Amino acid sequence: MNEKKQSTVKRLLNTRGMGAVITAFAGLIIIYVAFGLIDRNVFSGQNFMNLLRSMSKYLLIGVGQSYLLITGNIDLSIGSMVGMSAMISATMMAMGVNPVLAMAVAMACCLLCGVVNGFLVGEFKLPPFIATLGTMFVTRGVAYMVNNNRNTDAIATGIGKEAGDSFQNFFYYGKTLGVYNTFWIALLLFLAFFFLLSKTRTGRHIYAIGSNVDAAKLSGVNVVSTTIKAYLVSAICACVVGFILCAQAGMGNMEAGNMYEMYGVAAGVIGGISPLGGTGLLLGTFAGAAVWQTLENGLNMIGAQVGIQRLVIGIIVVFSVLLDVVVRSGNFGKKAGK
Amino acid sequence: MKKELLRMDHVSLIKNGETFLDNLNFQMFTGEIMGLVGRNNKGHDQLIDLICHNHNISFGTVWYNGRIVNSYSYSDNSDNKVYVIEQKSRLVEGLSVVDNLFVLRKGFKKYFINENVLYVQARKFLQENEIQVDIQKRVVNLTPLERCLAELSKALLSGCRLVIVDNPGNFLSKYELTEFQKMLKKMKDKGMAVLYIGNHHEDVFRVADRTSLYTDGRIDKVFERDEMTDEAMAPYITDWNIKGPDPEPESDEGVMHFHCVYAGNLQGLRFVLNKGECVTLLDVDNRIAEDVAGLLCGRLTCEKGRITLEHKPYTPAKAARYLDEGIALIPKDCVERLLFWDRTYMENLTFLLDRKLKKSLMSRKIFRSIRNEYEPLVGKAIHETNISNLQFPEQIALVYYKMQLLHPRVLVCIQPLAKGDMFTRMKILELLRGILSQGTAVLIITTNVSDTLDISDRLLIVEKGACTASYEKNEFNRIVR
Repeated sequence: MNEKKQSTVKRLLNTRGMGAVITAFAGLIIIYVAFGLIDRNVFSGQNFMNLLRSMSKYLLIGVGQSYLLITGNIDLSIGSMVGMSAMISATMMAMGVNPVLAMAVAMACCLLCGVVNGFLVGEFKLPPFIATLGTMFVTRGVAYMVNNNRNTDAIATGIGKEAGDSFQNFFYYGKTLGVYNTFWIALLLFLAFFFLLSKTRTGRHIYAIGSNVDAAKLSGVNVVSTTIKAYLVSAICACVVGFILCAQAGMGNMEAGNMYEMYGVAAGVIGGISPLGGTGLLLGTFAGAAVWQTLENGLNMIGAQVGIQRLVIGIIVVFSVLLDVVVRSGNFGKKAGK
Repeated sequence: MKKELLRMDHVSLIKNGETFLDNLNFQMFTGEIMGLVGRNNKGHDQLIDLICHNHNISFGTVWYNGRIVNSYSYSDNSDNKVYVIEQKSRLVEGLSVVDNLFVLRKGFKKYFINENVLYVQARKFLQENEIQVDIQKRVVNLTPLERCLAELSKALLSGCRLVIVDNPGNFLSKYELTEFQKMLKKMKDKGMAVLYIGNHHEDVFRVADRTSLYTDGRIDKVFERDEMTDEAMAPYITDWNIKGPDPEPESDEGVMHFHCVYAGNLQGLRFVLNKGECVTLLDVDNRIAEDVAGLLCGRLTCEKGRITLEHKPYTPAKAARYLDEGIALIPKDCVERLLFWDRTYMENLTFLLDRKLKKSLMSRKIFRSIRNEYEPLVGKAIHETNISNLQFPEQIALVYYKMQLLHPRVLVCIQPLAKGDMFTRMKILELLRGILSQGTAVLIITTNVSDTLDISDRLLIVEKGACTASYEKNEFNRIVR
């Protein structure tokens, strides 16, 4: 029994990318404890719950972006999709449309964007940076146009106070087992996508095209459909974050999700997802999102200026990528040598 | 009097225990076209590399332009002024010819480019050398002949006194080849030395002043001008056209049939592949491998003729999902092209397994069972999480084990023994034997038969896209390897 346990631990530690995950979690603990020692309020239960809720958005965005980073791509439209999702669902709810239907329409729009992104990158071989830059502007444009270039009224004015509260509680203010629902939603989606990536054929194909697209093609992997699937995951995550932001504000904000694409990249790379594709564990994205949010939260608590916050986070992101590149270059050297 | 430009004196090159160049003696003069006909490709790349760059050699000395540039005792890794014209272009495809010739040239120092001046200079230069290329055309739009002429111009402009032309017959049409050879003769008259490498002695004899016959990294014989005849060459080459059995009878048996297939460079290729049989296609012109692979993987369709798999038409739709149809392909450079460097040994080994088991989720039990099955064969390497830590033979073995696990009906191997030392090649042959014993039909496409005959049941000679001869195993001794 003990032997079996040991081998499981050994197997986990031997998993490629686990080193980065452990580093990210260790960093998270150090940061959290350090801020807690400066300001005891950081350790308070309420702050911890808030931390979990706030990190949920970054976690979801990070999961979406990580899927694409692993395939060797990127999605710059993910933040704009958040805005589009928030605006479409809020506009419809403010008009009195059933929240489920409003969310379904928003989800359909996001999925369409995911398919378009996947096709542009996978089928038409557009550079992902350019393709998703285009859809970033298009989706932000839709977010603006949906309610005639202004933010929506409160959703409760359309669907009524009770339904509005239910929606807001479900996505943001409500708690289950003492933890905010936002975190549970993020955790559920995280687990589902974690399973998809680590245990299914699709997951293996996603790693394969990021690792060696030529080998993937020769191994019969449908690169186009796999790319589309990765962009769909990203679209689903963006859409749900849109609902969370809509529930948080109780209305639709045209600027919702601004810069979230970069937060997603940061969460991924801090957690050891390689921006060069092929490696990384979604568990790392969890740690990355938590590091990001803990830093933001801690720096806020100790009264650091926004500039300092950005500076610290920026340095950590660059350091994480540098680490990945250095580790990778060691590997490439070996490959070339052979 | 002609001046000696290049001399390779008793040069040997041994890497990882494999001899690529074996006591090679070779001499070239200015204003001369030296032909080089290879009976096999061994050491071909290394020879070209050594003429261009002064890399380490195991024995011997290299002179270039009257001075020692490389020897067994000291190599400075410097470059010689040599230009290679081969299938792969050395020009920047997105730029125009004039940009490639003048702007992308060592010593071009102007920061602001006056295109008019550039065009005038380029036209003058090309007229002086009687080279006809549209200098404004982008390289990507050039015909193969124009591309070769542009490269020749670049060689002249860069002051290269020796040009290596590597198998131009592989990428130039017959007409283009004749024109290019005329141009090479003009360059020779201007004092340039040309090393003309070809698979067909007829092509080489047409243009060369002398021809060296090359086998396994050494020169067997040098033919002087008056000796360059088919008769003189005959004793040294394998005559694939000797009256062998009929190329390939149409057979009702067999897993896969090529019925007079025309596509790309294939001009009526036909053969049959039986279950558990290994057939080697000797691609004399080095042209058909990509086309056969393209047809089987759905990148190419038959213009005429048909392919059948288990007597059912192998349609483009089936070819698009060739792995599901039971066809697997091991390309040349299989380690680079088939392995996922960021995945573990086991993940690489089992990558195709979901396809075989038709399962998206695979239990740990299956992985464990495979690990237990392969551990005695693979050893500790099976636990490796970073496959770039493995030795080259272990990486090659991983590719073949992966295919063994997939258990395809037909396995196509392109130049399987092109890389690796003797030990690796023996290992590959052993792995192929294992795959054959599973009942898989193996098709080897190669330009060099030397080792593959050990496991082949039949050898088919393919010239100009069609089978010209077929040999059964008991007839292999008729073939000079």
